[in-house]
Amino acid sequence: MTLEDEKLDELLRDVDVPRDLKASLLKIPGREVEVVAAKPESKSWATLIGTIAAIAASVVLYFSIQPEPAPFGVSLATNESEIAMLIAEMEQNNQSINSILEMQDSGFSREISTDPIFDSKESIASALSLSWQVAVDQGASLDSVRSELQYVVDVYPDTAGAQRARGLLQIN
Amino acid sequence: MLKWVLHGEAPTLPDRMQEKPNTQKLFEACVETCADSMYRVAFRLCGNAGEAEDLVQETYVQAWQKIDSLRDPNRMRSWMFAILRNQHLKAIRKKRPIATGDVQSIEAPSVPVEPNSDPADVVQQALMQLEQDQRMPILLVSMEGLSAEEASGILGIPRGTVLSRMHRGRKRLKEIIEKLQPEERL
Repeated sequence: MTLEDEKLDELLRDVDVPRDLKASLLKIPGREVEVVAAKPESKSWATLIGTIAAIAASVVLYFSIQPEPAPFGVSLATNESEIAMLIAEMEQNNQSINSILEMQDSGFSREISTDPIFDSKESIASALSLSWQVAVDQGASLDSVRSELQYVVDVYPDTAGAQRARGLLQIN
Repeated sequence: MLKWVLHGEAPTLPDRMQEKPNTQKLFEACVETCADSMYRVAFRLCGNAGEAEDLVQETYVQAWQKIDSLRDPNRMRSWMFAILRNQHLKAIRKKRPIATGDVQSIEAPSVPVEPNSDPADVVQQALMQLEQDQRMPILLVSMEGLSAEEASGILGIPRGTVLSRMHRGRKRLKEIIEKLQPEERL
């Protein structure tokens, strides 16, 4: 079977738009006022949830970075302080990525330009691959980061970050 | 049930909006002009109605907060798509697992295609299997009728790259669809 171009376009456009979509979007200006008023209270909840999430993430990471036999004299993260350091570095990288996206948003609003001031894909791919490279360099087992490296390769295939991730996957 | 067929040209704003739009009217124009397009693209990116509506809502919340900075209302649609794309990237990052897990499941959460599946489901399933950098050019240009130049501005990549990704993506999309639904059902 050969799918014609016009048929493909027709299938792509075949999306049912909710009837009340526009009406609900027009309520946003009114709702935004309420959202702003509710911010202080919601922030404390967000902080609490964030703290719990950070603790959960630490536990997950602790169990995911299992020591394995060092192939070529690589030191392994085996104690709590090293793991805490890894977590802190990864958290810092996550914050950097968020900052890049926020700055890009800010760029849109200031310049009304649709041209991103950053190539977000390059930035994210680089930050992610560097993050996991640091983790491996400091002793995280490759198995614990393999899926993350593969994610960079799959989602940002044409970037320098993906190239670095491919290299890490091949070397190890 | 509404079925939408595009005519290939960007919708234009009413004349009164081009004179001196105030914030509220400009936002209303954003809703009137772009909402359906935003939803279609959001649905194709997310794969389900609930997430698509959330993404469109988030996009319009951002648009409302920044609406005063939209100095050229004729670029409204590109501006809105750029916000939607950023919101989608943020949503993907929030959904990603921390250290382990099947990251592919975020983008392709889907159910295996049944032999008698609706063609629209097959297309959606195929789109979710497409590489992310090929999906957006297809949605913007093929589905929503934007020019390659507009898509280039939204995605921050050269026009030639938009066209080549779209070409490769469409070819790959057809292959996936034919694999998922080999019979003459589409």
